[in-house]
Amino acid sequence: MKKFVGLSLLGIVCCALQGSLLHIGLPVSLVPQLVVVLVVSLAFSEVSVFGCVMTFVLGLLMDFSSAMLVGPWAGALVVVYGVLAVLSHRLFIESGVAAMIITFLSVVAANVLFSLFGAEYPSMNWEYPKQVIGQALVTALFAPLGLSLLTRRARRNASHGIGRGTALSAV
Amino acid sequence: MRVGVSERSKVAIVSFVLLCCSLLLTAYSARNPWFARVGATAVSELVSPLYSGVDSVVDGSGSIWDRYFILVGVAEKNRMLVAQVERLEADKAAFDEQLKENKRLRDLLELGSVFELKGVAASVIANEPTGWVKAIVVNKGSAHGVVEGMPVVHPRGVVGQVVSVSPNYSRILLMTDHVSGVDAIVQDNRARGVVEGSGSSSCFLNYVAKESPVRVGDVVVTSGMDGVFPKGIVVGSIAQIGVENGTLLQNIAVKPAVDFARLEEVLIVTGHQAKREEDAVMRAPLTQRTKERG
Repeated sequence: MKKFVGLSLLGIVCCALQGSLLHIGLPVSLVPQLVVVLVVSLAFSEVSVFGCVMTFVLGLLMDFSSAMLVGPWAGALVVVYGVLAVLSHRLFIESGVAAMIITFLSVVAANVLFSLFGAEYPSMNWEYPKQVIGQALVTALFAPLGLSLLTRRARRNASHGIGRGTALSAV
Repeated sequence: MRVGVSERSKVAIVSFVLLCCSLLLTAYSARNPWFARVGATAVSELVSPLYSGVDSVVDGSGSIWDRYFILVGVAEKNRMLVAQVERLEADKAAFDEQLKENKRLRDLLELGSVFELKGVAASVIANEPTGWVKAIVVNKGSAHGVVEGMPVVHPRGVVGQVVSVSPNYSRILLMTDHVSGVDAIVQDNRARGVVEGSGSSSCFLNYVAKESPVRVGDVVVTSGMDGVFPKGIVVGSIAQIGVENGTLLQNIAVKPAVDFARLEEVLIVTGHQAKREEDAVMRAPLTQRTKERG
């Protein structure tokens, strides 16, 4: 329960930062998607039903921030979480470059899935893909720091780091 | 983190179930918009105080920066004098900021008096976090008389419409969002159409016949026919006109009069809705009105 409340509060703070502070002086295409970073960290540090439900709740928070439809962000983030969680033993998130690539792909995937689930694609123009790529790049740049902060505790507890998968460590 | 195969399978199954739940929720909320609004109201009350807090911190840090900047290069022997200058400069900066804010608020009030509108002035405290929906959050809500559907304007022109309200905050869907629509007319030749958002920084004036002699630079104003926006408020100006062969309508791009990236204060028009309801009552048959009074 404590963990649930803590992560929910972290999600609310991420939403608030995305909606206010990071908009100051930055165009919308350069605002990092902090909630996706949180989901990526969950996929590596909390591979369990709790992590899945937590991701769903974070997605609902994003949906309610828009007040338009409830569900598209929740669905998109759950898919991203599910895929990453299932592959997490093969991915080496501790590498900065790997963290950036994984986060970049996660942001792009989440936004593409959101547009599909929310049926936003009929109204799409070129500004949206540019915006998504820009946000994904900025989020990826922020990811190594964000992920290391978020997964520090989990890493400290894990004593088998070297034996983890190396699929992306070669990058 | 050591996780077994069965745990991963469990995660995959739960993810799939939650994905199905999300899709069902999406379908349900598309048919029942109140569902999204109720949730948004609760989230607004949770998140918006953080927005206000961040807003205050940014203002405060701006003031600290100003003070620091003034102190750079000060000679030691003039410390007392410079401290006084610093204080005066800070006061002046604060005064200038208040003066500018006053001017913006006065412009809003003047707008209200010109169009005989009653309204609530509100400050913009946040944007929609992801950028997919063009919306802003303002610091006035149902406690200040704001209700869903109210039009929102700025001295420069139309801003959008209130889509969700919590006691102290409201979410406003901007005119540039692709689901927004405003009934409008071209000021010079009175050609009528609907201004619809493009999802980017511009809008389109749709349903204008090919024969209508519109020109680039013509001003577009609200027609008042949609029952939402008062008549005569500037929407924007025509930026581009395109005509495709085989169609009856023109493709008209409109540049909004309001710079949404620099929006700080807006006027939520509260009186217009009351007036509309009053008009509706007056238009109702006399017998019905008599019944209602009885």
